[in-house]
Parts: sequence; C-alpha cells; structure tokens
Amino acid sequence: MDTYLNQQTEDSHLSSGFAQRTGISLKPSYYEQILREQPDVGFFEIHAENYLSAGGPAPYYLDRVCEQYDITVHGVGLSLGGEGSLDAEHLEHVAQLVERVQPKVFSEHLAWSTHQQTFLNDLLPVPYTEQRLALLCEHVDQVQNRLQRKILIENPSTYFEFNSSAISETEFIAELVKRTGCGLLLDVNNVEVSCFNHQRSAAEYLHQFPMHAVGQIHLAGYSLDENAQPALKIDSHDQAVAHEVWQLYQHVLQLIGDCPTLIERDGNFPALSVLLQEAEQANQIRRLAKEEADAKTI
Amino acid sequence: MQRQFNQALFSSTPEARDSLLQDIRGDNMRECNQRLNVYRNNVFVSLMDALGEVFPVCKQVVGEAFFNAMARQYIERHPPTSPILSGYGDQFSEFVQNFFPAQSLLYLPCLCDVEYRLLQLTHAAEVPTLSLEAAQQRLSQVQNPEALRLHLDPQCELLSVPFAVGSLYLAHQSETPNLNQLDIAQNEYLLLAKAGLYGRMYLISAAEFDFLSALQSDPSLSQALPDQADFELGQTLARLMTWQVFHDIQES
Repeated sequence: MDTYLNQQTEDSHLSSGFAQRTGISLKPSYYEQILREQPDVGFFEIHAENYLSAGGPAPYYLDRVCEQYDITVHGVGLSLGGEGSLDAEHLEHVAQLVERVQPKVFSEHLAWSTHQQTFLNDLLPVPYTEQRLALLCEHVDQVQNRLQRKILIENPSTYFEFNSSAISETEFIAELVKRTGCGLLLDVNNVEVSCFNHQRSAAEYLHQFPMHAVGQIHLAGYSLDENAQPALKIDSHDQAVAHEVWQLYQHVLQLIGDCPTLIERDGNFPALSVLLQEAEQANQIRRLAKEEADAKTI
Repeated sequence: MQRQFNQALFSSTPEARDSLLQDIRGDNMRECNQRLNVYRNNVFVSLMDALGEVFPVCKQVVGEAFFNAMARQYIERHPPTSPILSGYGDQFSEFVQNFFPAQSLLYLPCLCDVEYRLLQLTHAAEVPTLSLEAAQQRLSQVQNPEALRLHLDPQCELLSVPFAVGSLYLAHQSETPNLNQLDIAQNEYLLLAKAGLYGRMYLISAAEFDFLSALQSDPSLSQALPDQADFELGQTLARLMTWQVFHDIQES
C-alpha cells in the first residue's frame, strides 16, 4: 500500500475555507455572478472533465475563481471501476489539471463509464467481487501514484444489485480503503437513493460504512420515478436536497463530527442564492455538530 | 459484464439484454428490466443533452423531439470515445446528411458543421491578436502600403456555404429569432474567429472571402487585393480590426 498521507497538507486544510464552510458546484451560469459578488462559500467544486480544454470560458473562469477560493476537483470519467486498464492519456490530462489547480481534494467514483473505446457518460455499477476489488485497487493505486496524493472515492447510487456480488457494498468499500489508503467521499444522497432502491435501511448502511476514512460529504437532490414498480429514486442532482437527506446528514455528523461538505448541483439550476441558502443550512447543522462534539470533550 | 452491459444499452433486441438481466437482482423480469432502464435512460438522455449543447441552433430549428430522435440514432451509431464531451459530435453533420427524416432540410448538415467548428474554436487556446487600437497604430505608422503584410490569426476559418446558415445562426442568437427576411437557399461566406473566450461567426462578402483566403496563404496585402468592384479595402480593414483577427501587421 502506498501512502500519500501528507500530514502537513491535511493540517493546512483545517484553517481553510474548504474545512470551515460548505461549498457549492461551480457552473458556467454562475461564473460572472461569483466574480462580481464573491459569495461567502467555503470552496467550489468542479468536474475535472469540464475543465480540460486548452481555452475558452471554463479554464479562464476557473483561474479567476481559484485566486479567491479553495477548489475541489471531482473526476467523472476515469472509470476506476472498469474491467479494462485506465485511459492513460485521460489520466494525464486530469493530473495536469490537478497540478495546475492544486485542489484541496481530488475525488472519483466507485463506478465505471468506459468500455473499450466507448464512453457512456454515466456512473455504471460494479459487481462486488474479489476480482473487481483487486482491479479497482490497482486503478486507485495508479491514480494516487500519478497524482502523488491521497484521493477520495465516492460511494455510488445504484438502481440494481448484481446476483454475482459476493460481498456487501460497505465491506467492498472498507477493503478498498484498507488496501489502497484512499479516503472516502460520502455522498449522503447516494446512500438515500441506493438504500431506497434496494429496500435497505440507510441508518444501517451508515453504521457499516468506514466513517474513519471520510474526508468530504456530498449533499444533492434526487428525483422519484413513481411509475416504476417498485418506485425508484434517481440521483439526478437537479433538485434541492431532500428532507430525509438532511436528516441523514445530521446523523452522519453525529457519528463523525464536522466534515467538509458540498451542495452538489448539476442541472435545473436555480438562482445562486438558492444554493447559498442550502450551503448555509449545512453550515448550521455543522455548527451544531461541532458544539455537541465540544460539549462532549468538556 | 461490461460487454453485456454495453450490448444491453445499445441493442434493441431482448436477447442482447438477457445475459445481463440474469445477473440483476429482482422479483421478476419486469422489475429487472425497469432497473436496467434507469441506466439506459441516463446514458441516452445525458448524451442527447450533451449533443444539444454542441448543436443548440440545430436543436432550436428542428425542435427538441426531432433533435433527440436524431441524436439518439447518432449516439447508437457513434457513441463518444472520450470523456471530454465538448469534442463529441464530430461526425454529426455527416450523419444528419444521411438521416432520412431530415432529408428535406438540405441546409441542416451545413448548420451543424458551422456550430461544431465554432465550439471547437471556443475550446481552443486563446492566441494573442492585435487590439483595435494596436492595429490602428500599426497602420498609421505605415510608410509604404505596398509592403504591408497582414497576418491573420491562424485559427481563423473561412467557409463558403451553399445556404444562408450564417444568417440562420445569427438570427438564433436572439431570444426571438426573426426569420422573415431569411432566404435559406442563398449562399453565404463566413469568417469564424476567436473573439476573447468564444468562437464567433461573421458574415462577409465574396470579395472579402477572396481577400482573406489570399491573406491566409500569403500575408502580402498587395498580392491579396481582389478584383471585385464592390471591394472597399478601408471598410474591410476596419471590420477585421474591430473583430481583432490580425495576429500581426508588419511592413516588410
């Protein structure tokens, strides 16, 4: 296991916007307003694949935002859970972006999206077998080696489970952490979506989740497909964070204390102020969690 | 597993889905199919949306339902090969040309080609060009106009198109496109150039097209002047300087 726990870097986060205040997704429709109004958010998160062009508005505005805010980079196209080898050229592009931006965190998914030469533009599910675990660990090692940093892997939202899965998702993730030293991005909406879709208890899932490795939390909205039998929750990122996701978030912070958090939005964009209000709601829950933790230590 | 998944997403035959469906947990086939369909829907909708962002005017012109039907077939035949979707759609124009339901819209492939080129320009690295002031200053210092060399930004593209797709594109930059005066069968000359962070399109005359084509191969002004009677060098230079398409202006 390679170790990229650069303690100095990790400690420096404690005083940063990333650690202190909730962040939001950076999207083109907000670029101008962000630069003009400089909203009080902890950080902005970008999708790596949207910022790899040589020119145009994306790299230009990213550079401006970087001057004033912490950034986190969220990869959506490395296909770490894939059967084949990683796309070395794409990894190189992502690594160059990470070197340029120096994000507080680089995260990716427990999912695959590329089959041979075809990119499917979705986070597709992985069967939880020893063979796939070994392959995923190889891929995570490869990325950590190239980026020379610990990365966070996000728990997936899934719409079906494989009969061929031999171990549970939480065991699979815990073993991934143990073998690669990676951290975790706990997407609380994904927990709600997957547990609802597989008729499991979200509280139980969180109880089994390797919380010690969580370095960041995502909160997002889902949509409900009521026509499906049984009904399915879809991880659409185009709605406000749902009530039950806020409740689960509170529960998570009771378990692990305060944690850097992102309000993630990828569609049906509201006014920037709406996202800022959601970020403030998360900040309030975080403050309460901190107070409770402080009270316990006194 | 990935191969089966891929087949299940892209093939309409039930057989293609069977082997994957066997591995999906569910009380019955209907439920397993439904669960698989969420992924199928996510893949196609996200890629149709991505194509819609590459070809926004085409989508507006034909309407969302028609565009998505066309995009769905394109995705099935030419799925993306890179996770960077701003470059997706390089064969869309050619595909549209052969897409039977769009055969009466002869101008559509041409419009798609222009939109694709513009987006690639937007995503290309910015190359420094002369500001209007800098270009005016260079021109004001010229001793011998005969020796003037006008270097165009190498990213500039010149297109001679058999339809009025330039006017059609420009009309759709407004929220309420006015197409009353538009004769789509009219041929047009277009200059595509990067202005600031974005690819931009300008309508130019036939004489200007000849002039700029000549400058692209040889920057010597005296060699590039066209014969056409309607060519006004002063006006053309003023337009080109405003668009900031000169990489350099020198006197040799």
